[in-house]
Order: sequence, then structure tokens, then C-alpha cells
Amino acid sequence: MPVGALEKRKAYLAMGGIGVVCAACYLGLSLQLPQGRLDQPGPGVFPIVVGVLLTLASLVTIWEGWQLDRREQIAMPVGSDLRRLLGLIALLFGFLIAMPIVGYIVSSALFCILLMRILSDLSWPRVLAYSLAMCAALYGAFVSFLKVPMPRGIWDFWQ
Amino acid sequence: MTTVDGILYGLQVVFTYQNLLAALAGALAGTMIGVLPGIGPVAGIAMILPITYSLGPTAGIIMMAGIFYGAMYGGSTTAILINMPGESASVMTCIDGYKLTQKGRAGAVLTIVALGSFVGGTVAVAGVMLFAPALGQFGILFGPAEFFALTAGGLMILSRISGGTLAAGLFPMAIGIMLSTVGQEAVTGYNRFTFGFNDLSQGIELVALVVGLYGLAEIMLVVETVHRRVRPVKVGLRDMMPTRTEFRRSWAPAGRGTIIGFIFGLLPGPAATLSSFASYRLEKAVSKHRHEIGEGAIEGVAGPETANNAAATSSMVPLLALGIPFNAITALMLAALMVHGIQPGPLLIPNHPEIFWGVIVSMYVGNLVLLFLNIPLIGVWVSMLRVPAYIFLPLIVVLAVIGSYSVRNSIFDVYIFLLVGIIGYVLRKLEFQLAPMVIGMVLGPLIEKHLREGLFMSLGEVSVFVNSPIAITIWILVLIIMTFGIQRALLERLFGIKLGKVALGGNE
Repeated sequence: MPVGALEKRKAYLAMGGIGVVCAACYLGLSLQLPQGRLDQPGPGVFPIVVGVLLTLASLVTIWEGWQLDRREQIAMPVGSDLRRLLGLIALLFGFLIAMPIVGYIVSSALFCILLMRILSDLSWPRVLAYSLAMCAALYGAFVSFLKVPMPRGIWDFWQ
Repeated sequence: MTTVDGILYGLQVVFTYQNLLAALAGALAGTMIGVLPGIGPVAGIAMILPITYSLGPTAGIIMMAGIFYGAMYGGSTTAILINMPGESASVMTCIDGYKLTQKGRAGAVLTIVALGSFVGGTVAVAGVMLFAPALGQFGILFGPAEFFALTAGGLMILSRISGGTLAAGLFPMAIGIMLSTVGQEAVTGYNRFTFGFNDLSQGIELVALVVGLYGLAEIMLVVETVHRRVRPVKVGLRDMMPTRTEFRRSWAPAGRGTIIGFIFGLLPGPAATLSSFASYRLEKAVSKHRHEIGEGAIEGVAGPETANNAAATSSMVPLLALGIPFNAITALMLAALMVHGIQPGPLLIPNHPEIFWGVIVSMYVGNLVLLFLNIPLIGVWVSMLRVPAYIFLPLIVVLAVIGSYSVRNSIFDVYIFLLVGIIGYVLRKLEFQLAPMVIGMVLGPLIEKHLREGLFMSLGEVSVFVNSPIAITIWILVLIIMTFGIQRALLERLFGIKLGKVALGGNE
């Protein structure tokens, strides 16, 4: 099975860099919060401590990345493995965007059908049958029995 | 209340329809969670967290404890049968467990594991029962400075010994604490970092974060390797009986595993995982059959599996006695108790004896349930391993979406779940530790509370945090552990002393 690789050093440096930027923004916002006095600390005191901690942690990440051997690699998916992974992420995005619009039932059924198709080479009728059975079971358990009010979207008029 | 009174009271609490059902459902659901790839105990507990909100606090925590030790058992089943640990505490079980399966001893090994888990779990419950009230009494002496040292210092120690490098624990921990500051601040009600979003004023939902971080990230990893799964062997009830030699060779490792597990459970860090590594190394050092360990020896399974169950149980001590969670699962239990308005801490045992003694007795009951159900049910667990990935993966993802949505009925939480899932996948690829992020998120508000209380009560005197002997001791310990790498380098450079490295699951 083909496996791609990513240089661990670069990944650590990038992660640390993102951390430093986040920490700087977070500290900037924290300084705008009411600080109070030392005997009456305001809501801005703790975030400043956390911002400093995040800065230090990000700098440690950069330092560790700097020390890493360039030959150290992280295994990354390629080929069909990568396609499946990206397929899952894309379907999830679609599922979550569609859920408030077309409702939980339709979006979850579509998600299951398409994900099952990506993960297997089953025929469409079997994929449809399995997915609909699964969605019906989940709907019965959570929406009908446990009364979880999942979004109904455009079907909201239907009581 | 004496221990005997406590047990009698606990029996009264547990032997109600709702609590017995919670213990049984928790133990069975935990085993299922441990068996199924793509969902570990942390994500599993997070997904049922909304259900526990509708139960009483006692039934809720009994169910979560059941899932915790049930998952320890379930995780070993996949490790033994298909060489894939259901959760990280079963990594060591793969080595000898799978080799024994290849030799046709899978059934016997599963029985030994069930018995070992029962022994480890039950003895550790006795330890919890005796140790937690004493620690709780000691905890009553703590003020804000000591609690600040214990929560902030404990979190730092945890981030250092969770595995991997300093950054691998510290960076996620800082992100976790940062996320905990989002939303309405507890004292003045001031909105922090909400950027005008109403959904953010209640803070980032813990369930969505944990299900994304552990559940979705794990599913993404399983999807990557979905076509490389091994099919499990068939195990019949007749194959379940170990030989007399296997029994004889198992009891001493199980005994040692119980002691190791109990001690590790009291310390910050991934106790169940670390204790199984420690037990495996101990068996390799002291066992009569140490030369066979690694090639398929029962000692390599009995010790680690007993240890991880004992550790899972004893990790309840810091939570119940001091209100401090030392791993992601007990952090979720703390969050669940707080939702019910119960503040775990030294006063939990005197103020809420029904929770403490209910959990203790439910653990005895749960361990018995696991022992008597799991051996006959082994066929069911094996058949679950045969469920194709294209069935269980969509099912788990939809369940995770429902779990994330259902706490606050908020679509925003589901977006958080997806975002955090992708972040969790990246962090896992980079070998960062996820537990410090979850514990940081749960402990963040408590650390802030103790910090502000300390400053308020000392009229702004910062030195209050290092004035008491308990706080000083904790901070010295934190300093020693956090600077261990520097100390080792200095010793080597200045005095030529080389300290040996002992690898325990990515930890040194």
C-alpha cells in the first residue's frame, strides 16, 4: 500500500508558527478585557496568563522542530487512502451544511449512502437498503424514542 | 460513616432499578466501544454524556464508570483476536495475545483476561474505598493556593508525562485552557472571545470538542486504513477454558499487575496505558518464563490487562477525593457532575455519600457483570468485529453528529465537532497528545477560579501561591518533572553521568 511522507521538522515549525500567531492575537484581545486590580482580579487576568503559556508552548514546539532530524517523516495517506479520507471530509461538510436546510433525515440518509459507496464496492440497491435501514434505526432511537429535536429544515411545517 | 456502613449504604443506592441498569448498560456499552475500532472510551463516554444529563448524577457517573472499565476489557478483545488494540491501554496485549491466538489459544487468553480484569478491577475498588476517604480528609486542609497548585501543577505534570516530547503535551494543553476561556466568564458574566456569536457565549461545548477530537479524528484514521483490516478467528465456548498451566502461570503476573495498576492510577497521566507498559516490562524482568514473553506467553497478557483495569479503577481516587481529574475520562466525569451542580472535591464524600458509595458498589457489580457476561458473550463480540467498516463507520459518524448536536440543540456545536475533528487528526499525525487538551479545557475554569480566589483572599498578595508547604512541594515536583530533560543534559555534560532511558509507551 503506498504511503506518502511529510517532513516532521517542517510540520512542527508550521504548527509552532501557527501557535505563535494565535497566541499573539489571543493576548491582544486579552489586553482589551477589564483587568481589575490584583486584589479584585478582572476577567482579563487569567487569559493573559494563558496567552503567555500558549506563546511559550508554541516557542517550545518551534524549538523542538528546529532540533529535529530532517530525515524524520510522518506517514501520510496517498492514492486511494487519501481519496477516501478527503471523501469523508467533503461528505461531512456537505452533511453539516445540508442538515439545517433539508433536515436531519434527508441529509443523514444521503451522507450514509455516499459514504457507504466510498467505503465499499456494494451495488447501489444494497447501499440504499443498508443506509435507509441504518438511518431509520437511528431516527427511531434518537428522534422518536429519546426525543432529540434534530433539525427538520424545510420539513418543519410537517408535524 | 465507617467503611461497612458505606458499603451497606452503597448497596442500597445501587440496588435500584435505574442504577443497576446504568451499571449493566455502561459495562456492556463500554465493552462494545472497546471492541469497535473508530470509537474509544473517551469519545464513547462523551457521546453518552448528554444521556447521563437526563439521568440522576449517581446513575450517570455509575454508567460512565461502567463504560470506562468495560472498554478496558473490550479493547483487549481486538488486541488478542486481530492484533489491533481497541484502545491505547491494550497495545502491549497485542504482542503476546495475538501470538497466542495464532497458536490456537485465543479463547483461553480471553478467559484469562476476563478473570485478570475482574481481579484487578475488584482489588482496586477496595483500594479506592479505603484510600479515597483518607485523601478526602487531607484535602479538606486545602485552600485556593493548594488547589491552584494541584490543578495547574497537576495539569503541567500530566502534559509532560502523557507521552512524547515536551511540546507534544504542553501545546495541546495550552490550547485546551485557551478554549476554556471562551464564553461568559463565571464571576462577572463578561463575554470573552465570543466575537458577537451568541452560541459562543455559553462557551465551547465539551461533548462536541471531545467527540471531534477523539471520535472523528479516530474515524479519519480508520478510513485511511480501512482495507487493511484482519478478519478475526472464530472462538467457540469450548475453546474458552484455559489449561491448568495457563492458570498457574497467570496468577502472579495478575497480582503484580494489580499493584502496579493501582499505583499508576493515583498519578497524573494516562494511567491505564502506562501501567500496562510497566507491567509488561516488569514481567519481562521478573517472570520465570520471561524468555517466552514476546513470543506468545500468557504472562505478557495477564499482567498488563490486570494492570490497566486496576489503573482505570484507581484513577477515580483523585477525582472522588479531590475533584481533580488526571485523565480525559475522569475529566468528562467531573464535567458531568458539575452539570448536575455537584462540585467534586474533599467534601464530596461527606456531602454526597450516595455518589461515592454508589460508584464503589457499582464497580463491584459492574466487574461481576463483565465476568459473567463477557465469557459467554464472546461470540457476540467476535461477530461485532466481523461487521464491515462500511456499516459501522457511517453509523458512528451519524451517532457522533447526533451526540454533538443534542447537548444544546445547536448546529454550531456540530461545526465545532467537524473543525476539532480535523485538528485532532492533524495533531495525532504529528504525535501530539490529545488528553492534555481535554483536561485543560475541563480544568481551565477551576484553575481560574482558584487563582482569583487566592488573589482575592490574600488582598492581591501573589506570594500566597507559594506560601504553604503543600503548594511549595507540588511546585517543586512540577519543576523537577518539567525540567527533567535539561537536568539529564546537564548531568551528562558536567559530570558525565548518563541516565538510562526507560520507554513506557512513548514516555521516558
